[in-house]
Amino acid sequence: MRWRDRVLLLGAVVLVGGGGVSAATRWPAAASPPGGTPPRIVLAATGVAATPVCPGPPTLLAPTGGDASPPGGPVAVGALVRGSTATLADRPLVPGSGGLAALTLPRTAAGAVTLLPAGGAGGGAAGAPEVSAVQLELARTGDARGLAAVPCATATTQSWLVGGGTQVGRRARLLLANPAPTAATVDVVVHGPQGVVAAARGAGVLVPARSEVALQVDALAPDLATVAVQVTARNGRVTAVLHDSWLRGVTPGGVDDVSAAAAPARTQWVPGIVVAPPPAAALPDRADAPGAVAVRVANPGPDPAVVRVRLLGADGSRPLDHGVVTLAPGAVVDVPVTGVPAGPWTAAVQADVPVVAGAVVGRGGPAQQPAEFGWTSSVEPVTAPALLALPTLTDAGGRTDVEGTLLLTATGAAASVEVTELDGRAGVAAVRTVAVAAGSTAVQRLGAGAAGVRLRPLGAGAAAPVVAALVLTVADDAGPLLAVVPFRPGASGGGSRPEVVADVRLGLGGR
Amino acid sequence: MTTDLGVTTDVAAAADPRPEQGPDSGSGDVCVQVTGPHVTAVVVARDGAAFLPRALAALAGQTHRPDAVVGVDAGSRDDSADLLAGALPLVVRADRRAGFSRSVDTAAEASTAVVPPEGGWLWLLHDDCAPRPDALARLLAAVETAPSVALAGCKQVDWDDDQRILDVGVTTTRGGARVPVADRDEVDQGQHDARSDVLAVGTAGLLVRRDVWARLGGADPTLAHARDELDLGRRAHLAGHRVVVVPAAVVAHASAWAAGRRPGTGSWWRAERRDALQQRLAAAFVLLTPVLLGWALLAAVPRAVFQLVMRRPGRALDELLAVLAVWARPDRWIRSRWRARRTRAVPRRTVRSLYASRWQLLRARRDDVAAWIVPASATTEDDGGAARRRATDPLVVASTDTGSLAVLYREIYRDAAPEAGPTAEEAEALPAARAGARAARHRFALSGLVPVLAVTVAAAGTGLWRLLSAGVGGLLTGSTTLVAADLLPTPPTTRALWQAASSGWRPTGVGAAAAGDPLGAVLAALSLPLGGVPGRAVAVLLVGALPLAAWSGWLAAGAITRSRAARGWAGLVWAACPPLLGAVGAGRVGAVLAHVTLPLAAAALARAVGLVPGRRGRRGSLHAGFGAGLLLTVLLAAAPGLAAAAVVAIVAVTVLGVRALQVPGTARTARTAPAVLLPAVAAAGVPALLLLPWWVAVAASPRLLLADPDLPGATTGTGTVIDGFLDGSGGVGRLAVVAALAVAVPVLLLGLGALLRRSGAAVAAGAWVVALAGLATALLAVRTTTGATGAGLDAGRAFTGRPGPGLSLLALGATAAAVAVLQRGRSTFSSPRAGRAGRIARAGAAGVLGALVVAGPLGALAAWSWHGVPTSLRAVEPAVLPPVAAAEAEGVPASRTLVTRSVQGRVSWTLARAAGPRLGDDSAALASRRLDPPAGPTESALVTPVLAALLGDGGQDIRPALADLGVGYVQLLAPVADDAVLALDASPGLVRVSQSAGWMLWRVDQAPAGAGSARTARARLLDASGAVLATLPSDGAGGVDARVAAAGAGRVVRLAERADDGWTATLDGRDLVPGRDGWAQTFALPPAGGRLVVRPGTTAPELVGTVQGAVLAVAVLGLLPLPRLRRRLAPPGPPAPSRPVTRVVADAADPGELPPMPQVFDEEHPEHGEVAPLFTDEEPEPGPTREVPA
Repeated sequence: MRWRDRVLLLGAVVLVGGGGVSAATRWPAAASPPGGTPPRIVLAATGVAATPVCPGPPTLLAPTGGDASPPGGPVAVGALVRGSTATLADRPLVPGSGGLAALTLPRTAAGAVTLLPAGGAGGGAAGAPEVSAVQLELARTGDARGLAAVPCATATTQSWLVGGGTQVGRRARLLLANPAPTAATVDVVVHGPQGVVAAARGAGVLVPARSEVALQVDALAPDLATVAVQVTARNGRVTAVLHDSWLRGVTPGGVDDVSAAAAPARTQWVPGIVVAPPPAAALPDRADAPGAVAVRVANPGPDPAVVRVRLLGADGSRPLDHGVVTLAPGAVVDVPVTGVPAGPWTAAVQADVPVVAGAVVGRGGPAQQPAEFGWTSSVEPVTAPALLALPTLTDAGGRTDVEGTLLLTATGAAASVEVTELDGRAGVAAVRTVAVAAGSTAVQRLGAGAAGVRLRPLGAGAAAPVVAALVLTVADDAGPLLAVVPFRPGASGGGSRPEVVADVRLGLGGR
Repeated sequence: MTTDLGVTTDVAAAADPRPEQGPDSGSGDVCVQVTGPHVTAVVVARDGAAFLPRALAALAGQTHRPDAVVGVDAGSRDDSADLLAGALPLVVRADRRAGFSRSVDTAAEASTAVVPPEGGWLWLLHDDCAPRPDALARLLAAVETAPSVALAGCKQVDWDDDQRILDVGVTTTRGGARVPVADRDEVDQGQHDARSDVLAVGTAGLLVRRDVWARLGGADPTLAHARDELDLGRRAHLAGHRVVVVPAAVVAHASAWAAGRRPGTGSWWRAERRDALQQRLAAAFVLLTPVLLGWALLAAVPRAVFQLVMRRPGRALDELLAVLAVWARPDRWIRSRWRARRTRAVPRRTVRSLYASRWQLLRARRDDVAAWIVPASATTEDDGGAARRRATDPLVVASTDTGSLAVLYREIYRDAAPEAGPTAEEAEALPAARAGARAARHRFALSGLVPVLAVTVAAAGTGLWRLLSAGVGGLLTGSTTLVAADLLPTPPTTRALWQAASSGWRPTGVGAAAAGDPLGAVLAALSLPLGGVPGRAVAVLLVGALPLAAWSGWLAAGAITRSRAARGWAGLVWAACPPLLGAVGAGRVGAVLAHVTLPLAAAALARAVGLVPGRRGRRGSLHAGFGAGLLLTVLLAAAPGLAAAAVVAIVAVTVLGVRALQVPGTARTARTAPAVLLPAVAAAGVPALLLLPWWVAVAASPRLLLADPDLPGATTGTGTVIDGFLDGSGGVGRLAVVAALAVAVPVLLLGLGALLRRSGAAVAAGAWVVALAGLATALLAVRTTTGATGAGLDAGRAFTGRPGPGLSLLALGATAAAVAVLQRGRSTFSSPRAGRAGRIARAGAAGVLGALVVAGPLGALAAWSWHGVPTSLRAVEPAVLPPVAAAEAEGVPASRTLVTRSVQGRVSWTLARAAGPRLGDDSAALASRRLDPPAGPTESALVTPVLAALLGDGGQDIRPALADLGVGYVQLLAPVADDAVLALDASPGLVRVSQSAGWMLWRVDQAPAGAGSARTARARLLDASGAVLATLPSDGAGGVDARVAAAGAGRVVRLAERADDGWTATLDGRDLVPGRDGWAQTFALPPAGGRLVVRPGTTAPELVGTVQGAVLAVAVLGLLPLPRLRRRLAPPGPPAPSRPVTRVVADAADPGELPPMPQVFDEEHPEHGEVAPLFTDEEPEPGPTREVPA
């Protein structure tokens, strides 16, 4: 080959190779997924985790049928659904034009009822479906005179019920409901003033599938004025409610249901503490006295806790007398609320270790007069729109107006909340925007016949957290009847929509 | 002495022309006793004209002359009779078929008259044996001192080389297998001279007592000549006599029949084998004989196969025919039994001590195999230095383990690198001094490889240190396997991997019909010598990738250059090649295998068509053609993307090879073209046929031509093209880019520079054509979407082909061109015309260039290993499932496990069929099929609703859907999400059975209904209403083989497998009507019961398997080396022309004067001199004549 040919050869090779590479750098790669995006499924939108369970009439759950107390009064479950269809005890809730459905179901039969949102149907609606159900029980006469309200909660593995007592005359029935089709086994641990009360019978309680069992806490840990009950599911999940009724001699001391408190934390907010105006202004010093108002704190951990309790009222924060207490591990203490003006308060409980908290709001006069109380429990701030149903209750004498008062507390910065009041047909009765000053509590009275209320925090919900509670009162000649229902975010069902990926290399370790 | 037949006595007396010597007259000779026993020498001849003259001369030259000499002509067809008659006074004729023993009898009878009454001795001689002059004297001396000796034999040495022992007495194992006393080609140094009593002695030069011979009746006449000495010896022992070998008496023996030097006789091997069987039957305990007969028949087949493997088809046939002969003629061995019994005087056990032990037999067999691997010519005909070199040559020693590679080694080496190639040593005989120098150079050539191997081993060791330190023990024991981004765990057994690769049913998801990857079959084959554990083959390939690549590069470079430095550099570059480093890190076994195989395949292909740089007019080599075919099969299985380039390459080199045959001015091409075309056809045909199912799949989906079998896992190779290149070249990252450039730039520049050189530009141009083909392949691959990830037909992410194999081909071409430059670098840089300054400048430039080209690869290796391999490679336990689920998955119910992991916003799942995913479950064909799947629900469509129900916490009873999918367990992997645990706990029928740190497991308890099982199974028997009647046992591939009872009509067999036309089912052999239940395959079952057999019909037809097996056998047999027959086993030269021999007759004029023995050692009988080779080496070219060392 001649020199010129060889140079030409070299040039050809360089040209072809370089051209190919440079062309290749300009081309985009070709691959595009053929199957589109991986499918997404809706998880936990319809399941047990999203099914609120209402415990049913507690008085029908006496150990044996013979000495069961007759129903103290009408029991009703009210349900609200937004963005989804649902069934409440097999009765359908179909949202109307406003996207809401409301239903109040009078209860006469025993057992828990569930509000079962339909799955998937709400997939097209904006946002997750919201559900809420509240059970209300009213008795104007009899041993069980009082108003008891409990938000129907979803089943969980861990519940703290901060309330109740087991003194003589006081009964504390723990209602454990399992909405799942598989049985659950739970451990019930009672905490008293001195710490954990050893009770073998509380361990390994079997809750069969789709059923409810009652457990007498006063039998497990008798004669304790301050108790807190911890319910832990070994497997499965249960809804736990403590039904507290008090009969002082022959005088009714009131009834209420203790609902589960927020999980242990170093800061707890207990809304809905309404101190009645005079003549009841002279609050008893003893927390276990009738008509007392007290904040109950339990220390779940193994370390002693130093707890400070403040109150946030209409005019801002106010320390509580004797508001700093020390708790032994596992112990429960009541901090009486005394010396504060009448009005709505929210208790702020701060501790150096995680604690759980609740509060009792008592009404009642002197001895021989029927008393009444309502339990409230700590909640987490409402950051997303939240519904709360308000059942319409009809007593033997016809319609009974339950008066609802909404208490809103801005725990941090000033906040404003859009409050939507719903009427009996789930129509919107009124929409207001309530401004709450920083660290204070605002009051919003609901109209008569309200079927529920929806809160929607405006602005940055996380920066200006709001806790809320609905205080229900029924006027009665023998003294007001009262119950407190805290707003519990998360009670409204939601669903995650994870992407689903087939991965044959699953389990082969790190990728 | 009587004088009735005075001739004999006269002849005997006259046979020794020399005067009788006194007792101490001869320095080396034994004293000849005049008054010794009477000895009759018997020379039996049959077609032995080629040997007889020397044999007769040796007889005539005996210091102790036999008292009588009788020649027997057993019907010779050449002029043996004339030769005998011309030399011996008494010649009798025997029937041609009489056999040796009868011939001797004839002679003995003919000479009876002269035998003294006290008897005498017969000295048996063949026509092809030449006793040394003192042989008879020493034999007689031995028997005289030991009266119990009835048979005395000679030490037999080679006819042509009396330094080489053939045997010193004969022995066998008790089973009858011959055990040679002397090793092959053992040089006689007196090391066996202490032997005395033996089982038998060869009949050539055997001195036997006449009366014993008569009583024994000679050797068994039904035996062929092959084993009569054994029969004789054994029966003599049993008759109470001693059989000794007299090592001092030496006879040169041609073993003409056994060596194939005696024309017109049948197969010695057949006779030997038949006689061995017959003797065994004759000697065995009578009740054992049926067993032995059966055993002989059974053993014949493997023996024949063994002979086939040794490429001795004739002997393979002999093995079979010999057994048939024994079966056909039972009368023979029965007569042998009777004959043996008749003369037996002592118990059989007396001979036991004379048999050889099994151990000795094994040792002899080992020597046979060693001689086969290291060709006999090398050990016999070199000066011994070659043998020693061979023994110390690590490549040859290693090659005994790697079989075909050893052949390749030789093939490549034949011409390319004579300094290292053993066959080159065969081709050129060298004086010892030159051989020594050559050996030194050989070591030098190796010294080019050793440092490169050391560097690569160090780099691999450092780079993979984490992997090696963590799990190498598990890799050896098989408890762990390697996994990587693109590598799934290997199946535990070769069989499983082979089945997966050869099946057309992919066991992933609910199954899908698609061809398997041939890479699995190749890995299965590679794992066979590693104990049948495929994981070890993968580990060897990945962990040893760098040294293997260095070795293959070094080896193949020998086809271009003889410079050890250039070859070492080629090995270094090949090991540091970016595509290889990337493939190791990502665990791409196919790419690694392709990279290692590519240079060898290219070199073998060039060799096959006779393309050797610098030599024109060479024929091709069929051996190399088959080698290239097998290597191409491995290469294309590992990297199908190179198929187009391979086709182009085969066509191109064939054309070049044919052109190179043309010698100007001759018509040689036409005549010799087949010598190039045939190997090319072999090279192309072997991969074409062995990969037949793959080509069928390619025809259905042409994009498979650019797909690679290393299916991508975690790596996303879908960026730009440059990303794709880097992904294929060792990982994205600045260091990787710099390292890749450091290797590539010097190679590319040198390779381009090769184009400018005057000499070798043609080679460089060819190399660059190859390189550009590689570049085009790589570019096409990264531009082509070849498949999608997923399970079954579920399409996940699409991916393109990988550039790795194409880049390897690019590197091959560029490196070949660069090596061609380096080879001639020395002449460039040491021009004799340059002055002193010029020489210094040139030397400096050479040093700088050398440092640059070496620094690149070294730096890249250092960066790769020191900086930490960007690797996803690690050793893990292959089982994902807990043992309880794995047992059920791989057991009879063959239930699946739904494995899932739920982390925030992402639910991953897989349907596990076995303990974990395995290499071979998926395939490139299935991945390609996912791009345009056929109608029907994908796996996602089937599983997602189940997952939603399970994890959605609805408390929904999902058991029917799980049963349809064949899911028996649900496993939740860490991180265990509490929600998921609660949801699964709440699901009806799911029972949590166990948990550990990494997972939780739920068993699916199907509600027991009717006769149905509470457990899930992959195959179920349903009644007309869909209720489960029974679960059926099934195997891993979904097949069922079970008995079903008769029952009502409307029953259905439902498989949890995707419906496909390939499924077949039979009940007692009758075909069942296939149907489908949604996506699942069903079969309608008649009311009758019987044996139900369900098979995925997508397995390849048996014909294909048969063709493949045949092709593989042919290719392997073609690859195996021809055992080099020893050249001294040469055919007789042209028969000596008959010439008038002065007849010595009885009535000679002067009976006292002995006629002279014919002087036959003349130039017309050169048989013991130079002989033409029987089997020439396949090199027809005249090479330098071999000098046989003295």
